[in-house]
Amino acid sequence: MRATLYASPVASGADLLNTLIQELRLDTVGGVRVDESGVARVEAYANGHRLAVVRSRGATVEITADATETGLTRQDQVGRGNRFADGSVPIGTGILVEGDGR
Amino acid sequence: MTYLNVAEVDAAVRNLAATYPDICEHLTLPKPSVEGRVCRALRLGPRADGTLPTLVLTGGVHAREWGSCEILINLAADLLRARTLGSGLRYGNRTFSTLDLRTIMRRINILIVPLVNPDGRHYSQMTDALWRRNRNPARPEGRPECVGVDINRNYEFLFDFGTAFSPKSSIRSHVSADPCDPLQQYQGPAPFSEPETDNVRWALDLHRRTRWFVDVHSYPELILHSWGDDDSQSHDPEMNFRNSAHHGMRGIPGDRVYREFIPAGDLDVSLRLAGVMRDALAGVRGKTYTTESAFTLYPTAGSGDDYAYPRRFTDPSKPRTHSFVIEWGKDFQPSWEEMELIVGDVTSALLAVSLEAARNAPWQLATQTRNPDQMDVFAIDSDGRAQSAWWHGEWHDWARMGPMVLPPQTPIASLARNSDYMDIFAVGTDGGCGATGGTGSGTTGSRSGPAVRSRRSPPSRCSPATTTRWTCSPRTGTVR
Repeated sequence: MRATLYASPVASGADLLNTLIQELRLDTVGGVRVDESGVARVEAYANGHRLAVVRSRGATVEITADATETGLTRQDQVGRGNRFADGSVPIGTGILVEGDGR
Repeated sequence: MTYLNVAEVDAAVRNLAATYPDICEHLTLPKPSVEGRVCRALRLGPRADGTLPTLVLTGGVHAREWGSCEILINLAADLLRARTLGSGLRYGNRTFSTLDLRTIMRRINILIVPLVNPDGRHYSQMTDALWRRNRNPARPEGRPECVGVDINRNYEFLFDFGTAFSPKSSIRSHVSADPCDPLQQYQGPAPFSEPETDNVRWALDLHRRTRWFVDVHSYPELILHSWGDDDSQSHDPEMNFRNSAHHGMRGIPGDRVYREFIPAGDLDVSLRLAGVMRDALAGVRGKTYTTESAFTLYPTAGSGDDYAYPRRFTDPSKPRTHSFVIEWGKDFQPSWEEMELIVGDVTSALLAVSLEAARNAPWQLATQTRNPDQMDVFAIDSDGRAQSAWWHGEWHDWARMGPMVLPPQTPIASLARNSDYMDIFAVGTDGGCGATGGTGSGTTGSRSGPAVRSRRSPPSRCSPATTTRWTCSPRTGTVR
């Protein structure tokens, strides 16, 4: 599961999340951030069991996506075979412009 | 279009080099992956002798961050096509003119390693989409979940994190010495134990003037600059990663017990270039990436950017390499429609930093003729060192002149009073006029020797009285 973990109050929210990350060995993205309202949050990829432990320790868990399902969908968007086997080159996304482009 | 598989990445690199042979070549990196895949780089630029300032770009370090590879292939494809056609490029509302692209391609080399970790990408694309590491099976102890090393924890920088960092640091949430740690951030048994890290080290060392390094990652919408182990400071050079007196103190945000030293000039350049990338990225479709130090994200040990930047601190022969990480997007694998937009965003940022690098790359030259058979060219290079080249029947390559160091690209003037004496002048950052020169008999072809030296005058003073004297061999042009 892909989830956002929240914790407050201000003083210990970040510490709680960092402790949970370290103890549960959570696969997180972007580090723990404390927003303007003082709520600490971090995005994590973890299975349901780990997220249940996170909840039991006092953090809020908001599941944002089924990462397994998303991964399978994205794997369908990977090229098959070899589109450049004929010696062709990829065409970039930039638009060619003349001179100074203005 | 869809995401590239590893065979397509390899073919794209080879085909681009074959299609644009005058301005591009592909290089085979020295170490194949553990599954036997060959890793390749593209070198873009006017010549391949390694003397030009070089920007190294890496992508695909972390297997699941697929789009990093697409971004770098896109950059190469666009730049090579536009340069060949004499066109500029536009991404959304951000345009790079024909002159911009010509400046980039004439003044610097760009060395692109689009897929550092092909085994990991293949496994991520075919089996486990969230796989991060390489696929080294050397330490699995019979357990498949124990395969692989986090490439971006395997560089030689504070590798012994248990000793280097404070016990209170969160470093242990971001690197592990346990091959079976579900964190996916196993550092490996030793620095550069993995072929992928060794290949990146090779790429950084390939050109003696590797001045910039950008490692492309995901996510979330950040542009990171040095350092990654702690906050930075510019007043205490002794407080640095090499100093064991500070072991056990690193990695605590906001404290003053330890902060990693970065020279103020380097920090200025890092902030400026990070801002250049941020602004160029925002110029495409308004995406606002945050620029901050890598440590602001979380503490790291053994990361590529922290290895690349301070190499010159431990080995003075290495160049000053300003290092960055771009963390694009908000997903490891966005839908391809979104990824295409991100590709444009980040390509714009990379072209902008390439252009800024190129604009700062040219040396300020001074020339003189001492006699009809002798020409001298002087420059302060992009590392601030005085260099000279000369012609006497044939050209002799650039060589360093003594220990003097000035601000990079300092303009200079030269003067030959007669065939035996010459002077070069430069104005330092304090406004003082410096003259460099040397004394000696000067009769052989060697430029080595202790005689080249410099003098400085106070600010606002610059007179012939401040100069020192070189004695030169009019026959060979030798400066002794």
